[in-house]
Amino acid sequence: LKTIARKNSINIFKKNINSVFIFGLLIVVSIIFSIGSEFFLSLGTLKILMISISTIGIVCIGQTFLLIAGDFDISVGSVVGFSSVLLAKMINLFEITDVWKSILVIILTLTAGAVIGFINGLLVTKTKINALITTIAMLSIVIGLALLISNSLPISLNAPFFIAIGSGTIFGFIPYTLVILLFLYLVSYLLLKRTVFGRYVYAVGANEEAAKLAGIKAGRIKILLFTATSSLAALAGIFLASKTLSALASYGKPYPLITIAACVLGGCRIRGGVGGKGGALGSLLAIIFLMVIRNGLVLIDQPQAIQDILTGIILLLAVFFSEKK
Amino acid sequence: MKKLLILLLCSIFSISIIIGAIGCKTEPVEEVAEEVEEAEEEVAEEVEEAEEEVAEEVEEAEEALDLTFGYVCKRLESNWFVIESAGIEKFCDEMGIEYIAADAKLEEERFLELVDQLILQGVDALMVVPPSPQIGPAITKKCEDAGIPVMTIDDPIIDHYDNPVPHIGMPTREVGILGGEALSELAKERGFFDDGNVVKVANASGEKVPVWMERTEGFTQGLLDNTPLEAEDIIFVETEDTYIDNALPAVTSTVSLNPDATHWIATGPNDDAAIAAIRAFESLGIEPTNYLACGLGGYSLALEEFDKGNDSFITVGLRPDLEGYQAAEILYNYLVNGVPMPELTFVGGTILTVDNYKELSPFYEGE
Repeated sequence: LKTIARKNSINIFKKNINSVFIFGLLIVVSIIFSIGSEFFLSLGTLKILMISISTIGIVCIGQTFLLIAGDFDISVGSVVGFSSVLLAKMINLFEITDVWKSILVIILTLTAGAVIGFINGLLVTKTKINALITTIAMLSIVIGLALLISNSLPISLNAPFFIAIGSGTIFGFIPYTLVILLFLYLVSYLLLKRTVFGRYVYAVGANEEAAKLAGIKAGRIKILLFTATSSLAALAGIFLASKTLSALASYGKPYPLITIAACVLGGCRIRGGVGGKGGALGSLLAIIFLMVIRNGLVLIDQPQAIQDILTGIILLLAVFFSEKK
Repeated sequence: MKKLLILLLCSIFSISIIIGAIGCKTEPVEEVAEEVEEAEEEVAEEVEEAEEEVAEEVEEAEEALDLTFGYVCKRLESNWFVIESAGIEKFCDEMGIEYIAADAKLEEERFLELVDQLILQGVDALMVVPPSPQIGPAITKKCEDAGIPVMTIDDPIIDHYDNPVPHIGMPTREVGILGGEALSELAKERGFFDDGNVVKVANASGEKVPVWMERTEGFTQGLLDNTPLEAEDIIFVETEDTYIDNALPAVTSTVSLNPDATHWIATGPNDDAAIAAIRAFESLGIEPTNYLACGLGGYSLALEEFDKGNDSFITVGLRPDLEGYQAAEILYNYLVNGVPMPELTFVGGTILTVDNYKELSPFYEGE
């Protein structure tokens, strides 16, 4: 029994090696930043970190599913900007202050995000256009739409409901948006690890043709994943607009790069149509790691150039190890 | 009887004097001594309290001077903001203030994170150049929660109570007027308005950008108020984006269509447009003695023109370093001396010429 238990422990460790590795890295950089800045190990830093990951982390969930299924979405950043603008425009146009109407606007915005993702999915699966090209083209279209809606200008968002979403906390400390993020990660983890759907996603990513032969409707799964990814990006846009009390077409611009980097660092593979690796936990830890690096470097007063160089090196290493796997 | 009465009175008097003297020497002396002692104790206590108060005040004053200023900028990589930051740093160095600058890389979300981070690092005052004015209320709310003053440089914002935030920046129209006045003076010196001369003005600008138009209107006002020029002498040259590529053909066409003009004055809402006009004059064979051009900015393009020795070109040199320096000074005076922050502070431009650009331009980096 002892041997079985030990083998099980080793298996769990092996399966989560990426997460363990990132967690180790997280501790190492935290120690370095704590030595470098008296402010790092503080509730203030923790709060900033929680706020930072609560929007980009949501986009990371969708990207994780897509990468596991062997694809990715470059248009997520533009969907973030588009949804923020769409939401703010509707709120201002109809002068909405009522909670229920606000919820209705949120649903409409999420639906708009879902439609964009659905079109992405259709194009990738039905016309067989590469996901990179499809989503880059979609990025351009969506940014154009956002610019049209906003007249290329930032829009203020001063509705009380959204102010509460953006700055509201539980116990005066934990942002609402973080609670939603953690809930979404939990659901994603369970979906991927404990459901048939999760196994299908891994199967499609590992070998799409084999998955099809095994009766898995790979196309439908991919369309669903693209739709979900864009919907999540739209949700991130809503959170971002609530946090900044404004909306702008350029919101979310760096998200595609950062989220893909986080997913790869968290264990996903980026090999053009081949996935089958990674998980929600790894991606969550990786996005926390990247945000810790970003915020920690500011606290230890490193110039922007160093921050850029380090981010680039981390990205390269992540891709290198991804390829090695 | 009379003698007895006198003796009795003398005795009573003597006795009363003796009693009085004894009384004065015994009980009152002790009381006075006690009073003096009490008074001394009181004075000592008061002195001690006063010393403590002074020590506390000194400590508070020292703490007040132990300041940290923060600057969150939308794009710190840009030359303009690098120089603006250097201006803040200069003031901070002079006053022994710690200074932290942060670059938001044109991201609103990052900008707000950096505001949080600088507050966490204990800044006593914040200077901001936000990527978009709409995040103003979110910035000021954070500063209010942290109890620190905030000031905007270059780009004004409205706070979460819909009030303007103290701002320092460039007066758009006034810098144009300054350029127009300088051009007028030079044109008069060079005899542009002598009999027989026909002077025309080419205002290269773009209607798409309101700020450009405001600068151009300033140039026009400066010229009309200080020269014999009439409104019909001033030609508006519409350019797509005021950069050389688009401004050059537009000015060339305008000059070609006005062959009667013997002298030309060109203005531009930036250096690019003014230098485009110079290139147009050169291509049409107009001598530098017969034209004047004034740009706005005083960056590398203008410095290159000065390096060529062109004395027919001037520019309204902007001073981001002064903006930064004065912003820090205003915040310092507010925090330390209790001087209220002015709602609006303008830092005007300086006329740069081939003779003074090396001394006055903050962008000049030496030979």
